Parts: sequence; structure tokens; C-alpha cells
Amino acid sequence: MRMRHSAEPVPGTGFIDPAVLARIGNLQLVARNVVDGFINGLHRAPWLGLSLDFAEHRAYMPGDDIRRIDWRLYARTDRYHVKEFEADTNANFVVLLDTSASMGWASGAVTKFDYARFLAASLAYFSHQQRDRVGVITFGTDIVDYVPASARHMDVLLHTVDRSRAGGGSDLTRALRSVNELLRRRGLVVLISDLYDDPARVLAAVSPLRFRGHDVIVFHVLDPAELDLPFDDALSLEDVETEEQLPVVPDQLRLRYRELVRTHCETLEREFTNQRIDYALLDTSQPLDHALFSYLAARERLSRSR
Amino acid sequence: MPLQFLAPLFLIAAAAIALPVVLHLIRREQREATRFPSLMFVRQVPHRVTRRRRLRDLPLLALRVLALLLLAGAFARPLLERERGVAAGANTGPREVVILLDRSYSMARAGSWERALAAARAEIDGLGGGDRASLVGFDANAALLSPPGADRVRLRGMLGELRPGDAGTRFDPALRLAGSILAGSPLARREVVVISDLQRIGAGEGIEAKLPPGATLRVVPVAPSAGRNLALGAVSFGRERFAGQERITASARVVNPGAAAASVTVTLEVDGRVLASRSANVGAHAAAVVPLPPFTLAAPVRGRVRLEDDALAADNAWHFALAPDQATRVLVVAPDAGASLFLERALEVGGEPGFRVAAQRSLPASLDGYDVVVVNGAALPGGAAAQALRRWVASGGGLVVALGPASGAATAEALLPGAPGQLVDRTQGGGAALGYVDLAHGALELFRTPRSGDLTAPRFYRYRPLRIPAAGDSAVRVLARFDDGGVALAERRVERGRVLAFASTLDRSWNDLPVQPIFVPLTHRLVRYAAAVAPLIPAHVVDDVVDARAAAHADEQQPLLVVAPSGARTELPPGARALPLAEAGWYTVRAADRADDVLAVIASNVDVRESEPAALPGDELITVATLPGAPGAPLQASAVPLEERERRQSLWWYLLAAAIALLVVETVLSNRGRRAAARIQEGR
Repeated sequence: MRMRHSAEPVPGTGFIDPAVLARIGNLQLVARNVVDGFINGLHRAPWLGLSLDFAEHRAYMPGDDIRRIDWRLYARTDRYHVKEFEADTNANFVVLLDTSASMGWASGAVTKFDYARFLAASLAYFSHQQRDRVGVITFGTDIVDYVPASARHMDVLLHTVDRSRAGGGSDLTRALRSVNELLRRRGLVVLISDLYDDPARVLAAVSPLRFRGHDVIVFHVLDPAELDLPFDDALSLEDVETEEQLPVVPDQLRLRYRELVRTHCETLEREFTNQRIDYALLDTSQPLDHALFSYLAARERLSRSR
Repeated sequence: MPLQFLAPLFLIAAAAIALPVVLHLIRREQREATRFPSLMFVRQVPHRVTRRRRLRDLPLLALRVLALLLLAGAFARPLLERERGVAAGANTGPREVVILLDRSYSMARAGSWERALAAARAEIDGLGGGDRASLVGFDANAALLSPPGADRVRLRGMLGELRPGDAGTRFDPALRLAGSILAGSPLARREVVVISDLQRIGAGEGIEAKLPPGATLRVVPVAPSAGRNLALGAVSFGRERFAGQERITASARVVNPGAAAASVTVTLEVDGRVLASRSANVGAHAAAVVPLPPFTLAAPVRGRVRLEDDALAADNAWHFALAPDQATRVLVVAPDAGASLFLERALEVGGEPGFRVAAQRSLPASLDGYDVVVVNGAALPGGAAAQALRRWVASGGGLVVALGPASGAATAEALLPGAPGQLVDRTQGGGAALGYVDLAHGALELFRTPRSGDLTAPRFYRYRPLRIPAAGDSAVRVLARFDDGGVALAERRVERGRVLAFASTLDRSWNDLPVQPIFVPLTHRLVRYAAAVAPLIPAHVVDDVVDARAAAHADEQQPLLVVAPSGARTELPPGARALPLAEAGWYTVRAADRADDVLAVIASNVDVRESEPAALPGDELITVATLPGAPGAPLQASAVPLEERERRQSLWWYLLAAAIALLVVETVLSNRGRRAAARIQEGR
């Protein structure tokens, strides 16, 4: 799944420009704007009423929790029945947010980290609306902040995401190893990162989450300038994490650079797909709708599987 | 429609397009590093830091280059030549025809003039409806006889009045006049027709005149008749005194340019009387000098040497005018008899007129009867004698003073251009030489031309440099200086007389001047200049310009009347001197108020070179006188000055407006691109 290429927005949704969102200071408001706008635009939402909606009664079977016996019905019919609900919506939803320095870069109004924060907040808000337990883990070379998944942690999550800042180095392998130890209960794990690492190492870091039974969605966030290298004059580029400098003539290496980036992304997508991990490449100039749609598709699949 | 530029030098500014090209090649490397999320991919690309020159921002570059080109073009002030009408009319439109008719005396050869007139009439008859024609008569000079127009009757009438003159042929003035007529013509087709016997003398040293580009030149040669023609080249006169009278011996030079030997009779006429006839045989392509018997010259005479009639009459007569006793009377005053030996001998040598020299040791009381007094190393008189000398000089006498050991320091100094200075002895060291000579001065201009005499050759061992007053005296002029700056020769005008002072002697006591080749001509020039004697020339050539006032010995204020051989009368107002000779024969110069009183007779003859039958090929004349170019080039355009046409078209304004518009577009695009680039490269 590569949502970046879906040029057509979801029918009825408004265009939510990340640059506009960046002007909204309140992250909850941002998330609500994104999610509510998105939901209101949908004609059909198969997951509405999933959470505590009554489905049917069935006869009490030995072993059933006696707390689930409908005593009112017993009073009327003198038979034991238990209430059935359509689904259990209390899944874990955990966002893994990359806070390395490279995420703080932008060629336009929105840094990758801002974009990632909007995305994380929006997804968390959305899940919270579904009564999921939401949590967040920010990481650089290791875990920075950890908010365990809980139905009551939405505010904490938003606060944590809001105050987090991009900086420092990045070690995906080490960070995700720690994350894997923290996430005991399986659920939906969303990784938001620019994934500046060798695809094999990225896959080696992410795959254990999948092996633990998590549904994993990887949002690969990149700036348009990282995809195109639009510089004109000869210049020295400085790595924001390592501060290494390299003199380059963009005209000369642009084509090769784009090819390398494209190969990198295609490799990641292919390998993640093989591991049944959803992968979406996000361009910070693109609306958040794409990310949400990607998430919802995965969420729907998850609900069906239960 | 070719493009012209009024100020083409501004096009050099178009080279400024190299500037944006270079700027677009330059890749400005950022001084500060640009932050970038990761160099993971950049590092994997093998790259060279060496820059490859490649043009960037091609649209911007194109805008800038185009704007610069338009600006340069605007400043060069372009204008368009509208030649569509020209090209169409170049072969079919009306013509501007200039007929150049040769009226030199060679055209008077039997039959030539009639053929020339017939050719001219044929040209006039051949004019089309819209054609315009003008008639120019030329010999050594050119005259516009009929201005450009379509009046054929007038042209024909003018032809009827024309006769060959006495002058020779020169093509340059005629072609220049034709060129100026064509340049002002509004017609597309322009043509010059030369009707001439094409005497080679007409080309002179070379034809420099060029017709306007595109004008055509057509030559109608008038071949001379095959009849015999002998010419009198020149007549020389020898003077000698015999039995107290002056005797003239004339020698005539007869030229036979023909291919057959001829016998000829040469006749000498003096004052209308035939004095002698001599027969001579002249070989083919040869000349013969025929001596004529001497005759006595007691009074001014006008004479003529002539041959019998042949095909060309104009070159059969040689007119002359002679006056007796033209020798300059010179008194040489020297302290001793041998001191002026060299000077006296030099003055006795030849000359026309010569010198009649008398020598004395001191100035006589009266100087009447002398034209020039040469004081060679003797003391100048003082007191009353000095006053008398001054009066004599003021009345027109000439005084040449050569300073020597006996020259006084205080006597008659007022006459000299400067006081004689202290004696300078240069016997040690090889003597002094002349360091500066005013060759523009009349006394020394003979030595102006190359190889005419080296005035720096004489060595002066002793001299007394003249002390010229520092305050400028317009009557005093320095003619020569020694190599140490001392004044060697100076002139002072004293009313009508001239005084020349020489700082050394005119003998061998103080210098080696007398043994130098220039001694004889120098002394002749100095004495003649001091005497203000005009050289007597017995005969001139048509086209010469003579000083009529000098020939008549008339002062500046006297009005003169000149009667030409044809009887035409010309008045010379006070101050006017020049008399151009246009006819062969005798010009008489008379006092305007006494027309019967002939003051001078000036003889004028045809230029015998015109008799040479050698003709210039018509093709050669066409080649040297025409310029390559599209037929009928400038036309109407040339009638209107370039500046005016450029002002009317004002193309520069449009170019400037276009350049400004391009620059505005360039500014907008450039700023937009720069802002975008800046946003990207700021990178957070």
C-alpha cells in the first residue's frame, strides 16, 4: 500500500493542508479538525457503533461470566441469557514517534516532525474515539518518552507529543528493541519516522513487532526536497545529525540521488509488504487525509479479523 | 531591406552579452553549509567537486542576452533602407545622366569635336521620359553647364555654344562634380557618360575621384584623326650682351609623336613681325631642337614661335614675352678686394635674370642704380650715411649684411634685425653648423624639397650671433640659428625694403660656406629676396596662376585690368594678385584707370603633354572611378540625410521599449526563482 500515489482524495473530504494545520497551536484541536473533517466526509463508516453496542442475547452456557447475565430478561422469562456485543473495541493503539534531529528539517512551512506530530495526534484521537487504548513512545537513539496505552491517556499522549522536540541522533534498531520489550499486549503499532537507515536494518528492527502479533503500520515521512534534491548552486551539505559536511554539485548528482531514494522506498515497501506490514510514504506537502485513510484501512482489516 | 546603423560603434556593447553568459556559467558555492536531514544517499553518489560549466536558467539567460542586444541595437540607432522600390527601379526606372564632355584643346583636332558633339546629342536624344540629364564641360577643370533637368532643348543649346579650350585634360574634377550631382539625385538609376579622346595626361598621377556606389560609368571614346600633328614642346631663350645691347637667342623644341618622320618649318615672330623661319626634320616619336637666329632686345616684346598648320593647331604656337635688362644690380661692399671673390663669382653665374655686380670698399654716397647692397664683413656706416642708407632701404632697396671682423657694434644697428653679438670662436671642435632653418621663408624655400641642398653642411668657425630683442617685433624674423641657438640669419622689413643679416662672412675667412654646393643658390636666393625681384618667366602654361601685380610692378592699392588673349577683361581690385591663365596667348596687365597703358605682358601656352596621342583605355577609367555596389543604390535615401531618416523611423525607441519590457519580465522571474531557492536552501 503506497498511499502517496493516490492522487484522488477521499470523496467528500476537505483538503487539509499541513501548512494550515501548523498554524494551529493546540494539538488536540489539530487532531479533532483532521479526524472530524475526515469522518464527516465519509458516506459510510462500517466501524460506527462497534464499541458497546448490544448485538444479541444467547443462552447462558456453563463457564460464562455470571456478571454478563441479563437479570431483567431472567425476571421476565425465567431463563438465563447473557448479552452479546458486536465486538470488543478496546484494542491497544501505540504510536512510535521518531524524534531524531533529521525529523526537524523542512524545506517548506512544515517540518517532518510537525507533520509526524499532527499525524500521531490525529491517529490517536481517532483511535480514542473508537474507545481504543492509546499510547505513545517517542524515540531517538533510544526511547525518550513512554506513555502506556490506556483509554484515559489521551490527554497525556497529546501533552507528550506536543512538548516533544526533534533532536539528537537516531538508532532505530536499539529503540525498537526497547519498544518491543515494553509492548506486551498486542495491538496496533504505528511507526512514524524518516527511516534513514539501511532497509535491512529497518526491517530487522520493525519485524519483531510484527512477530509479537502487533499490527504494524509504518508511515515513512519525507520532505519533498529530500525526494527531489532541488538545490541549484554548488554547495556544502551538512548532516543535521552527524554534522558531517559534504561539498556537492546538485546538478551532477540529482538524478542518481533520486534513483537511490526511490530504490530505498521501493525496497522498504516491498520488504514490509512481505512481512505483512503496512507501509505508506508520506510527503509533508501532502494532506494528512492520506495517512488517515491508510490507517483506517488497516484498522478495518483489524476489526474484521476479530 | 538592409539594416544600417547611425552609430555602429555602439554595437561593440553587444559583446556585453558575454557577461550574463559567464554569470550563468558561474555556480556560486554557498559560503555556509546547507543543513540536510541525512547524507545517506548523497554519500553513495560518486561525484566530482570539479564544476562542469553548464549554462543554467536558460530562459533567464535568453531574456538577459536579448535585452542587452536590444539595448546595444537601440544605442547604435538603426535605420532600415527601403530598397524594394530601388531594386525594382534599378533597371527600369528613370535615369539621372551626367554627360561629361571633354573640351580640352586636344579635342580641337580635326573631326574630334564634331564627333564628340554628335555623341553628346545622341545621349540627349536617348533620354527617356522621366530621365534627367546634366551637362558638364571639362578640361583641367570642370564646370556644370546645364544643371540636372529634363530640358533637352536647353542641353542641345548648350552644346552649340561649347568650343574646345586651351587647357589640358584632367578627369578627377569632372568625376567629382558628376559624383556630387549623382549623390543628390532622387532617381534610382544613375549614369555618367564620358565623351572624351581620353588623353592619358587626364589621369595625372592617378584618378582619385569615385562615383557613388552603384552609379555606372559609360565611356564614349572619341578617337583622334589620323592626320599629322607636330607640337612645339618649349622654347628656351639665351641672353647675351653684344655691342652694348642685349641679344636673345631662342631655341624651339619640336616634338613629333607620330609614327612617321616629318619635316617642319619653324617660324619666329616678334611683335607681329616674322623674323625668321627654319626648316627641320623630326624623326618618328622623336623631338628636335631648332635653333632660331638671335634678335636684339631693346624694349619689351611679345613674340611667338609657330609651326605650319597640321591636324591640331593649338600646339603649333609658343607665345613668349621678354623684357630687356632684367639683371639685378648688386653692389658688394667688402673691406678688401679679395674678400668677396667667392661672392662676386657666384653672382656672375647664370640666372634669368642674372646679376650685375659692382664692388667697392665702402658705401658710396648715393645708392641709386642698385637693387641690392651686400655688405660682406665691412663696417656699416654711421651718422648721416646711416640715415641715407636707411632712407634708401625704406624706399625699396635690399640690404644683405654679412657680419665680419670689421663690422661695427653700434653703427646702423637700427637697420639690422638685431645687434651683432660677441665673436664666437668655434675653431676648436670642428666648428658650428646650422641647427634650425626656416625653410618656409621665401629666401630659403628653394631648399625645402629633398635633395635640394644641405644647409647643415657648412661649418662656421667664427660668427657673431645676432641679439634679437626679446620683445616680439613683427618686422623681424629669424631664418636660421646655429647649433648653439645663436641667431645665424634674420630678416628685418624696413618699410618697402628688406634687410637680411648673416652672422658670419660670405667668404672663407670665418667658414667654409663658399666651397659648399649650396653657396651659389644660397647667395642667389638671398640677394634676389633682398631685392624683391620676381623671377622673369617668358612663358607660362595654361592653368598656371601668376602674380599679376608683381609682374606689373604695381603696388597693392592700384586697381588693375587684365585683358585675356580672347579679349575678355578682368579687373583685379586692390590687394588681389592671382591671375589664373585659362587661354593660350598674351595676357596684358594694365592700370585700371589707364587701359592703354600696358604694365606687363604675360605669355601663356598650351600644355604640350596634351598632344601626346597616348589614350587611356575606357575600361581602366571605369574600373578606377566606379565602386562596386547594387545598381542604383542610395537614390531617395541619399537625398535625405541618414540622421533625418533615422529620426523619422525611430527604431531605437521600439528596441529600447522591448528591452525594458524584457528586463521587467526578467526581474519578476528572477525574484520568484530566487525566493523559491532561498526557501529551500534555508532548510530547518
